[in-house]
Amino acid sequence: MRTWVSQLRKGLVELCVLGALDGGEAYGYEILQRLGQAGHLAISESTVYPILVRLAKEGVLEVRVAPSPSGPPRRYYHLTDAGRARLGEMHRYWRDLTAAVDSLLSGEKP
Amino acid sequence: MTSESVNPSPEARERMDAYLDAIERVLVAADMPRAERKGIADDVEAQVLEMLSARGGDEPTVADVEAVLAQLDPPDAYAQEESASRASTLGAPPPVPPRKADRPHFSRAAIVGACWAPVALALIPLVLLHLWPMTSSSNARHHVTAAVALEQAASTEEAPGGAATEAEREAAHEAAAARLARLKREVQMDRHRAGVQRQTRLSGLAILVLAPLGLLGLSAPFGTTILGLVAIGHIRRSGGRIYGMGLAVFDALLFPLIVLDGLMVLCAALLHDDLVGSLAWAVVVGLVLAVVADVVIAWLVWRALRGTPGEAAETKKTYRTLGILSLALCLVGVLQVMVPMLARGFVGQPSFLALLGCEIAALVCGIIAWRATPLAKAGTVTSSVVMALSLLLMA
Repeated sequence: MRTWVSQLRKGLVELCVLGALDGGEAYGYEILQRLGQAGHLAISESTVYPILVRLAKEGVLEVRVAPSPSGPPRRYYHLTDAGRARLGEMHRYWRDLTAAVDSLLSGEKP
Repeated sequence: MTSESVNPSPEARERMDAYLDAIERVLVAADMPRAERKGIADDVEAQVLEMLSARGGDEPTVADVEAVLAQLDPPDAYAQEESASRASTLGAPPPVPPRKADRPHFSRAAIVGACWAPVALALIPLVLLHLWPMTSSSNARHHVTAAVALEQAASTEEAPGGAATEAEREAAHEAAAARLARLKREVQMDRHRAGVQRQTRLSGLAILVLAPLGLLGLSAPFGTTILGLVAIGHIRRSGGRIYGMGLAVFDALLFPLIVLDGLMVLCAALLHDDLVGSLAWAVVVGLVLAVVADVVIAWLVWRALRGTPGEAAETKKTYRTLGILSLALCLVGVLQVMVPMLARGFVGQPSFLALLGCEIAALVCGIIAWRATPLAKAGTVTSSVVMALSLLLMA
């Protein structure tokens, strides 16, 4: 059961990260906190940070470095046009998928 | 978010750096590009400092850092998550088993470089083959001269007339004739050997074998050095998949250090009047200095390459030292030419040779530390320019 949950979460991380940035730019730790506030996601930094740098490399996110009051400069991530397009595409797929699964599960019930 | 500035104590900073270094090593092993690794390290560091700031206090202790790090994922988690995140993208291909090339293996470039180097030694027999007929010819000339001298001696023995009996003169003449005949036979055999040798050298098979060998031998100093540098780059970027750093460093340094040693000994020999008076002692001093220079350069290079880039503060320091050494050697080379030129109006050949030696050493140190510090870049570029200019002047 735990493995299944873990696999499902991993598959959703990219959608969740893009969704967290849909509300405006944020730095790494801030994105983690937004994900944490959503509840039940339990996505940790070792999952999110590699995805952030990969998405930035792919041009889905853009990075802005700005000074931080607590130490080294922060890397602020925000969605690019390509990022918004991918988020839209993934969101549509997610809606279709959940609708299909919901329909299947409700149809099985007597 | 909090806006408090955080300045961890040196010990706490060290603990934080150790955690970041551990993540770096995991990401290197996962073959992640350097820019991406830096991005992750910056994000993690910013998070740790913000969590420390949230705990209160301007100067967090080791205990504070330990408490924060305990809430974070262990460094090993980055390996699993990194590979999983790459596979979880839309349309991403399923994970494939590692290819044969991805399995840990010894650096092939280092092996080829090490095999190439000894071919340069094959040039020695080639040179000997070339010199042998000349030696034979000179031997023949020597024998002929000796024979003629002997014949003349035999003739002069007859000159005193009554000083010896007829039988004694006859015996001396026969002895001289016999020795002359033996020497003529030796001369003929020498000529025969020289002829055979010349025929051997000119045969097509010999050319087919020796020409590629000669080309390989002549190009070995360049090939081995370049392959050594290539192997070092491969090993450092492979994150542990490719090993054999020792052999790669050996390849990269072998010929540059031989050239440096040769130039140092040559300089010492040319300057022996000013240095120690005796040529033999000057060569010994040059050899000792060359060995010391070899050991220092090899040790610095090995220390710099032992870890992955940015792995430890010690490694960074060594790279910086190599960069400074590169620039310093470059400047010393230029100064030891400029000073006598300004003082006496001319520069001797030894100074030019010493300049070349300094610039070659500066170039090697600069290339090794190229990525780590701008000092190394400055040293490499400057030494290359100075070397090109000095070679033009010498030509």
